[in-house]
Amino acid sequence: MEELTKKWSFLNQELNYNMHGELADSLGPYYKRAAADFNELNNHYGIEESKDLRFLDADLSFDGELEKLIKKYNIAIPEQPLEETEKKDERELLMDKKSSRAYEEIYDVIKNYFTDDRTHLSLKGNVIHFEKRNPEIGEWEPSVQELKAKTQWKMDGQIQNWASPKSADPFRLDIIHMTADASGVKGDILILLNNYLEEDMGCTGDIAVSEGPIRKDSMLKRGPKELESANQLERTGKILKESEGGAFAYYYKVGYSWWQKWLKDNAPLYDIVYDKQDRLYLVYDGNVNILTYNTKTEEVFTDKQLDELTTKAAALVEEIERLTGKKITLL
Amino acid sequence: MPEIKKLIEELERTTGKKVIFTEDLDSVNLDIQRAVKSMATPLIDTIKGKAAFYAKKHGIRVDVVETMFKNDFIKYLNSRL
Repeated sequence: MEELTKKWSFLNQELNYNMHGELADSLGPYYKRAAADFNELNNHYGIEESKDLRFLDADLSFDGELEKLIKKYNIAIPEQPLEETEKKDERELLMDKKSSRAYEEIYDVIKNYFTDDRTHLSLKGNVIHFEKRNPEIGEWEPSVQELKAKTQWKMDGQIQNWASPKSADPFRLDIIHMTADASGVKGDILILLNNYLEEDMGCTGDIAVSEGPIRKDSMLKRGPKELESANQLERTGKILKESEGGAFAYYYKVGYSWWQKWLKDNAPLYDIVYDKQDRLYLVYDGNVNILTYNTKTEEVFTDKQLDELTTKAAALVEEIERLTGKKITLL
Repeated sequence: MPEIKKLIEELERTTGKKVIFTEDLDSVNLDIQRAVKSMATPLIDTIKGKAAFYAKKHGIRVDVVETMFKNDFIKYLNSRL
């Protein structure tokens, strides 16, 4: 029973961080393991396996379902009373944690994304080490090894200095070396990190997430010098091709010009916006009035043309709703 | 039905917006809002992949779901500014 409670606690803790609804489609092996844990719990409590695991495979929105199960079988949630949990999203839960606890929990979340035997994560004090083994030579990839000193993820108070754009040591957290097999996972991890840094640690800074512009083989060929700093990447404007299968992702502290160039090549519809804390956002078609700017044709209309179009659109809406008997919404 | 399809296409051309039946909106909205929170940047490929998934799940046109993703992402960013 103690073991099962531990498992439940572990699972619940992970789900708290992963209640994004769609994550299951990208988590793969991790998800299967979670399902297996549920299975064991269900067996213990005499729940019919397929019936209660269905939501794991079909619905994917398992946060609400988890709560239903907890209520149904009166299973206590460690640390967080259910009523409080219901009112909070995963970010707020994260904010509630003590620093050291949050650190351990984030590490727990991250390590469980890495299911391949080539990746090695270790927790040493307040530093998470990400290392990747090269199967061809059976050793740690030299570039990664050499970069390790700069990829140390320090979770102590000094992190606040790192996150500031005016940091005296801009290289403190230039790169987090990450690998994952499934698309979307890296971004979710980085969101957790971002929230932790900003909300729990009170850091501000230009947090930029790059998923794809660096190829693994390019990095290995060019070695650590190429990745000496994000500033160099910005200076050279070097944009490499898309990564293959999301094999690598890097988390750069980069400048405006780097993003400007990258966006032009990769996502031309997006604009860059900095907020008051100098955080960087990409905004799609931000504040454009859709009726004066047609995103399909990129036409801009005069007031008179706009009036005509509005009248025409209203008539079309009325006709479609009449014929179908359903209300429509324009997005 | 072909007539309705034509009307919808014309309305979308006229307004530059996507047409969705309001009753379908609620079913997909919650999923998209959650998914948007998990997205680091609104990269086109990421949006397309996620939109395809939810379009299949809810039986809605994929381009409509893509638009919902983009709109929700803007709302999400604005809420954080």
